[in-house]
Amino acid sequence: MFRTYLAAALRHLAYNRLYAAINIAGLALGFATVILIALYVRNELSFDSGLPGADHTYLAVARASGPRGEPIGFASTPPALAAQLLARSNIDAVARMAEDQGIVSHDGKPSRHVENFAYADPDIASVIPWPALYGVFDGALDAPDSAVITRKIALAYFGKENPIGETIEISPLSDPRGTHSLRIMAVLKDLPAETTWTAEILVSGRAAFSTFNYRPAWPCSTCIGGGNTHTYVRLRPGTNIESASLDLVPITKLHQRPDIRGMENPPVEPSMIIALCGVGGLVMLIAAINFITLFTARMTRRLVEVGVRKVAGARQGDLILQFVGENLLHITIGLIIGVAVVEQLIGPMNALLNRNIGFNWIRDIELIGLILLIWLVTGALAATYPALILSGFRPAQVLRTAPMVGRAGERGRQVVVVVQFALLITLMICSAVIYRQTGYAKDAGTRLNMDGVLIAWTCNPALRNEIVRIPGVEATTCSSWNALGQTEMANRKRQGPLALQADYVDYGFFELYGVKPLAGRLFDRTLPKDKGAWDNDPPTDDAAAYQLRHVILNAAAVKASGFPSPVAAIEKTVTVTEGNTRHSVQVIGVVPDFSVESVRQSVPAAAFGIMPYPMELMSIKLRPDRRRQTRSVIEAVWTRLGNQPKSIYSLKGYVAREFSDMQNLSAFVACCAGAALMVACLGLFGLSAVAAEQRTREIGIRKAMGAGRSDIVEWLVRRYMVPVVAANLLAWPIAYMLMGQWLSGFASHVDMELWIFAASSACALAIAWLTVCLHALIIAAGKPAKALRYE
Amino acid sequence: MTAMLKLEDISHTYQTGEVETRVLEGVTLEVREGEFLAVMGPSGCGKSTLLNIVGFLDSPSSGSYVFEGEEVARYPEKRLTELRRASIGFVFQSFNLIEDLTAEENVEIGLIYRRMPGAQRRERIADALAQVGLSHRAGFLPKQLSGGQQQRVAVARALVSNPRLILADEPTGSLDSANGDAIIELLTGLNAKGTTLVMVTHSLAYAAAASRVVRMLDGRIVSETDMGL
Ligand SMILES: Nc1ncnc2c1ncn2[C@@H]1O[C@H](COP(=O)(O)OP(=O)(O)O)[C@@H](O)[C@H]1O
Ligand SMILES: [Mg+2]
Repeated sequence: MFRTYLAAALRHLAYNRLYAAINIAGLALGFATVILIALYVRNELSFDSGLPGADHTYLAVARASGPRGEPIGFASTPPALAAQLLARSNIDAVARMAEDQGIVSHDGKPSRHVENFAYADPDIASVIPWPALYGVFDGALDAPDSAVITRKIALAYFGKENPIGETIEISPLSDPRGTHSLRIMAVLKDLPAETTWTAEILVSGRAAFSTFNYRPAWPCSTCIGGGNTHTYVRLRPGTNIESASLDLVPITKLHQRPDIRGMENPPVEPSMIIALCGVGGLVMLIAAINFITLFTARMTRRLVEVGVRKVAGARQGDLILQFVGENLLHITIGLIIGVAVVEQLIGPMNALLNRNIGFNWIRDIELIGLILLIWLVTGALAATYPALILSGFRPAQVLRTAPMVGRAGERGRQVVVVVQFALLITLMICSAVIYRQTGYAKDAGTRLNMDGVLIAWTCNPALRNEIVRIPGVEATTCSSWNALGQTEMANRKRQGPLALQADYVDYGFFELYGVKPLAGRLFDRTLPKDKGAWDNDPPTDDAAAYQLRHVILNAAAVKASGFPSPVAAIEKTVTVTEGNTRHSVQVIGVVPDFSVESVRQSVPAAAFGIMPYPMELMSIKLRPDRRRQTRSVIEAVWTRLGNQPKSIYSLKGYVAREFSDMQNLSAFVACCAGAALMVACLGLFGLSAVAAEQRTREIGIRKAMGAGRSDIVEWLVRRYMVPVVAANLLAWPIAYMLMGQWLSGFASHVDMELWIFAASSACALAIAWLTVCLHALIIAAGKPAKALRYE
Repeated sequence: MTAMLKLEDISHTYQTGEVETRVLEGVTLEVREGEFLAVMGPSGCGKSTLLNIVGFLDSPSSGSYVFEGEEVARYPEKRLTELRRASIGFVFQSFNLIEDLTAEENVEIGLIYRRMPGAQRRERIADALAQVGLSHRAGFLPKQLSGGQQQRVAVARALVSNPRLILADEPTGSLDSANGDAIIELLTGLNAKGTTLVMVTHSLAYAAAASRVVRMLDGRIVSETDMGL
């Protein structure tokens, strides 16, 4: 009995190769997409859990509030916090890590690019006991001149895995504190991709030049809340800490907390994850719809078989068994192919997303569970659906009189085609909007003219003087990085009157970036008060504070200070904070909001002022022609003046790199949407095949009555216009709502333009025409005699 | 009487997968302007295939087919469609009406590809339906009509374009004798008005109405009987 059914199923598969192929391909693609998305999302949610002892390890996060009063956290905490925490009884260990950038060299050969490194307390080995390959991590950072590196760094600089005892030289970039020689004490296993700990060189926090010990002579504008020190804590199991100003966040949860600012490895936009899950759901939905419609279509073709079997005495159960068996066969084959596809795509996906996601369908219990779940759910669908159809089935109806030109199930299929097209159009619109938004983020969204701008991590006056004289250079200016990439500072609003964060720029900063004043004027070299001054001039002691007198506000600051308009703010007095002091300054101009970070977060209120000493960042605007040559001239000057190469970047490239995670993820979302599109197209192709097949006789009749090939194609195409138009009516509002929701998660975003909608619809129409024409051509090209004989 | 069409040494084979079926073998036949030719023969002997070739629904595998002085055996599909549109009307055994079009709309299918102004088309359709006595059923769907009525709609569809040649493949095969008689009456009436008629039938009584009868067996024409006038 089973053997005859299996034979029937296999024979049916062989006879209906087209349907089987469409069905299986659709299922395989759908399964593969869903598995890939699931793997990625799981990876995203499992950040940092690969670190040993992750369960008891926490990051101290400072509580603060954002510009709209929303709670935010800062991953950076004052270096002194560690000592305070250690006094508590329920804490096992505390260690700080602070990232910095620098030129790294060994044997006089400098690094090819700027390397990230971190200052770390020796206790880091007890808080995060990451395994060492050579040497012992515990105690390795005890000496002030010690360093620990990963295997990757060892291979890059020493050409071997075990350079213990050798030395490496580091010159921190942000301020020229000289070159420091450090002894390698341990080589660590390479860090996993899924961690918020990104530095692969750890320098002992006891080094005199470490940010824990070094107090810069001027306000450190890159330091947030006392430098970018991250304080890691290992709690005694089962205890917790209550504190008004502090949260201890489990490190395994850090990556899902977009409200925490200042992480080296920023959390992925949650909206992207939502979009991805949405696409995954859609793929499954489309695959399921395809499956059902193709099954129904096949059923109508096989009604006579069912009727005859019933007349011959087959019971409902037998028939259901037969069809369920056939469907399960398809699903199983689809799943196997899907798994094979994932096997192939996991590598490219890891490369794109810079992850190290494994695909081990033999040992990974969760993954096996997921695959089984997919199999069970689709299998259940495959089982209940035929049962439903067959239970309402009357054999007498099917085995009736002479066959007519049938269009059985036409209405139902029309509905499915409409739904399918609606999904297709929605997906296209959504992918286009997501893609445009991510592109916007790194360019127009900054509202700065970054064209032809290079940035260098120093604003050494001697160097700047040389660079200005190069003919291809239009202008240069100095600023803090914060002036460009304004990020939220801990807001001290609650403890007194509003004080604006001061950001430092030089003359010509706004001009270089094409920022025009909304009111008032920009800084003027000829007016001495535009520049700040020391409060006790000349500076005599360490506590001397530098004070601004005139500032330019951004639009957000105008609003935050309660002025009704930019013009109203001119000549008024506001309070700014500089370092630890606050004082009154006069507003001379207002500029629009801008920031290279402005897409992720709303631009914070800022007051720009001019300070007289060198700042950390030089912006160099190149003339439009021969930019490449100009750049090499600049690099030559740079090297001649004793600086290392390659710490000059194109600002556009730098920002693009900052946003590359978002961009790559959006590319991944687009790929998944593409897979969904393909599944949908396969379904449409199958449906149009069914429709065309059902119409074969009708086409034959029409041809006998004198219809030519073009008449038939035209007739079919016109029939497909209706569902596409209906699908648009459905898809447009849905896509509009979905994307409106998604875009509202960004501080600054693109508009949903009509042409995206129109183009998506045109695409859908083209797809419809293509599939139908293909079919119509195949049928219409045949001899009509053949079609008429068709039953 | 002049010859309307002339088949000479026509052979036809069907290719089904690996198997090649030879269905017509050296068929030579002439159909004269205005005559009524009946084709008889057992099931499967190739009558429908012959009719399909005559009506340009299929091209012969070999042999020559001269239609109104033109050699058409090797014509491309496009030219065949034009010829069919201009000169041929079909009636099938299984009616071949389109299920979700009304009687009127089904008749319209016979005209729709001949690009005719709407008013003129409606007039012709009404005429055709009146000729087959179904004016009062114009708005009915096929499933609301009896078998005989359905076949009369099919005849109306064939004659609405005023074809010079009507090909009827067992038009009475699915009908009882009363309904069958009515259909034959319609067709002979058309023939009397000058339309050439080729009809496949199993009924000796209906063949007797023809001016000439050819008998087929296994893809060959085995006899030709002039019924004499
Ligand atoms: N499209 C086709 N493909 C393969 N064989 C066919 C096809 N059409 C007809 N035949 C075969 O050709 C033979 C003649 O068919 P047909 O002309 O329909 O005979 P008749 O109309 O005399 O009953 C039959 O054996 C039939 O099975
Ligand atoms: Mg026949």
